[in-house]
Amino acid sequence: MFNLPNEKKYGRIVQTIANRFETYGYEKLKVDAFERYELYANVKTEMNVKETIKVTDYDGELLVVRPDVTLPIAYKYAKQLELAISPSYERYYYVEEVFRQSFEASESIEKMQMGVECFNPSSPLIDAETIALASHALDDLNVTQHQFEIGFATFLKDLLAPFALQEKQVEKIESYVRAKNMAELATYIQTLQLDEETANIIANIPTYYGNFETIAQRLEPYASNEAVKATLDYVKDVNEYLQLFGVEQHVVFDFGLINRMDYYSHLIFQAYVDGVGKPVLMGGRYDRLGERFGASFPAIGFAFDLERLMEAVSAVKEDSTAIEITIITEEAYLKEAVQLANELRNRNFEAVIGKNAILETIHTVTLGEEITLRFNGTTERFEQIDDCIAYFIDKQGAM
Amino acid sequence: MKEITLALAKGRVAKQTLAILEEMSVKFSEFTEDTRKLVIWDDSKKVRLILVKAVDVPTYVETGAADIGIVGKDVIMEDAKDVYELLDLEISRCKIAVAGFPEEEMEKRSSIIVASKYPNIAKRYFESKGRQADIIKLNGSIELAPLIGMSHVIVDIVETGNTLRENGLVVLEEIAESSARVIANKAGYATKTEEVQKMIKQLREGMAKINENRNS
Repeated sequence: MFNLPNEKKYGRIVQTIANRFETYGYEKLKVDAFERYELYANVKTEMNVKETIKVTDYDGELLVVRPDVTLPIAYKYAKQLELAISPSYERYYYVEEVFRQSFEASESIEKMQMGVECFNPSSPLIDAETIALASHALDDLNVTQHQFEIGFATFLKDLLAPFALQEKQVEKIESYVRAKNMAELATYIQTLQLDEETANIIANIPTYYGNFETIAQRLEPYASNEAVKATLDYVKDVNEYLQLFGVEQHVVFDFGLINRMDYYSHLIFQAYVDGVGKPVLMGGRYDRLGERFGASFPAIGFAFDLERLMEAVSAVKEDSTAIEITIITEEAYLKEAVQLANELRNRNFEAVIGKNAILETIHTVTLGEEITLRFNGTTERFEQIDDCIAYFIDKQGAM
Repeated sequence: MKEITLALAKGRVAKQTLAILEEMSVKFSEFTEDTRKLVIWDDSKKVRLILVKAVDVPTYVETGAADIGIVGKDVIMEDAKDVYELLDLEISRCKIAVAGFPEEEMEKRSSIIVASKYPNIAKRYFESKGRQADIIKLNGSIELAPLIGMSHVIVDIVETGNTLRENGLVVLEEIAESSARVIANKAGYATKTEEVQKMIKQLREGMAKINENRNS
């Protein structure tokens, strides 16, 4: 998946995000690699069932190699509720590969996803906090130039609900909205039997993009429409909480945002960063998904696409691959070298023992009859190993 | 202001688009018709122009290598990408059509052989008509296929119809209208909203000015 020099950067990204997830009360969860085929075949998602990789078990039952993480976690959570085992945590995060075979030869089968699923009671506050968490994690990675697009999953469907359109017609409208293709959208909805007000709202959906106040002002005249009113009321609260979390500069609203996952029920969002052509993160609220597994629970989540995030992070900050401390020694002093390395490692320094200075390194300690330290063109001498350790502890304290 | 990248199909679309932008005082002095340069900056160094093959424009835009692209609807229909389609520039107008010999009676064939540069458009069209069709993908000289008996009909773009006429072919059925469209990368639209919208506005207004000049 990655070449070797990237592995270190990858590890650092995962660690940074994991730390941030944990400060928001998320617990790490492991997800099974194999799931029953039916779990995916019955839920319409952004991926086609054709794209999944299938295997059979010894009973001949069809299994898929995990193409998605949200579904199995939601399924597990539903089963747990069914058994009346009260789950110990309501906030989970994961780092897992997902496997999909794409028709595009350039896409790799294996993708790393890192994300959260939050099963707290549904509220605009939780929605805003979830987006704030994602933004916070991006800040931690120094990807400070990021932009969230927030939409409402059922806005268009709710508007169209009274008109008994065929599925194909709805799909056609969605495809024009997704492409912000106003010219063809307007032409097409004229051929449908919509009332003038609804036709007007839908024809202008691509322009409901930007800050919430402006969109709300423009939609105000249509507030007699219940779908419009309900969405505006909800998003208004979310917007206020986003300001409270201090992330409003990273947010635009897009009422034309449509996610191919049909399990999203309210807010949906995605994040873009400078220099990466596709979203690095997607997510949303899916309060209805549990019903397909015989349970009812509120849920919101998102997932980072780590490969895309790697591109963004490299564009912002190149990582050093240098070793912090290299200890150069010879056979006779190996015992002391190991002792020094152990002492340093116990104090959370990165230390490597070598016979020659072949590693790219920040500090070089040469251990022989005397102990010398080279750092940044300067040389220090120590009488004893303890003095050398003291030097590093001192430095650590100063940092 | 951030800089933006504009991908244009080499040839007439590029020439006409630059004429539209020139109306709005966005000038590319380095551009000449026979230029071999593939990357050209505008005089104010805000817009980077890349000249690519028409069929590649949607790919450049979808991946984000270009923020905005201008390409025929025929190319977009053939290879649907996840991009915004923001404006119809109303240049490079043509039709996508089924063509063949005047005496061709497609409905009488149990299965029809179709040669085309647009296999996806052709396949979708015949499927929607409920007709059995075998598609042969060709990259050029499509008109040749029925002449030498390789296919019954062709699916291709038709502008004046001259090439068809010279080879004894006629339009049998029209599939769709095509013209140059302005497409945009979704990430660029989010991270460079102001710049992208400004470019769209300049294209829209430049287009209107040229139409005005033509009518007066």
